[in-house]
Amino acid sequence: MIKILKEKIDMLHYVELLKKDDAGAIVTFLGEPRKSTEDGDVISINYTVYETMALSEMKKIEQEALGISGIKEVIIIHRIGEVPLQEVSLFVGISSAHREEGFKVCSMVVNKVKEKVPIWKEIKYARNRDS
Amino acid sequence: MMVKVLFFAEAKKIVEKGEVDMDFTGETVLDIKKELLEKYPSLEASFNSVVFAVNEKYATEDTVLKDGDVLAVIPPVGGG
Repeated sequence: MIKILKEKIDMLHYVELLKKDDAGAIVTFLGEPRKSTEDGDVISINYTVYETMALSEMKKIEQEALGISGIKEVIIIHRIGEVPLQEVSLFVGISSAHREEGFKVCSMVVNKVKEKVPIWKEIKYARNRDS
Repeated sequence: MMVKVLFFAEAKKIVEKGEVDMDFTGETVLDIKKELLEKYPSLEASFNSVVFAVNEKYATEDTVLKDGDVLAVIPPVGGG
């Protein structure tokens, strides 16, 4: 399953969808806007997207992951628009027969999303300072 | 050859619009890149790091376009 959402990601709902009778492990990754010293007073990140191409690239990543032995289900969800600190911008969930392939494929999917999916971030600072 | 050009992120800020229909004389992504720089010289610095997509698929500079295609100017992506 792939989705691009403007609203908050209901993580527990998607974790439930990852439960499979033949899966012994569920591995999830939650990406959040990060506040770091060099960034200053970050309050949120605004994500923009080339939606049709982003969905196409996400589909390719999902299909590649599903083709790996032991992988039972793949969920990739990216939230767009303004995402405040401590809210999830990227949800990747993998259910797999065993934990090893789950960890490995989850990491692979996250890396590919960051590398290939046409989504951009613009950091929003406090006091109307923009990146 | 008429091509719809889409701009995103900083490229969109530089040209101050998200899309434009342009008549190009060249055929490849490289040709179009040069023609875009003639029309929008302020894109030059950012063009060192952009990639292009034709009809929603990543393209190379050798990719040949046809009339009616959609070319997207893709600055470095940053999802996650």
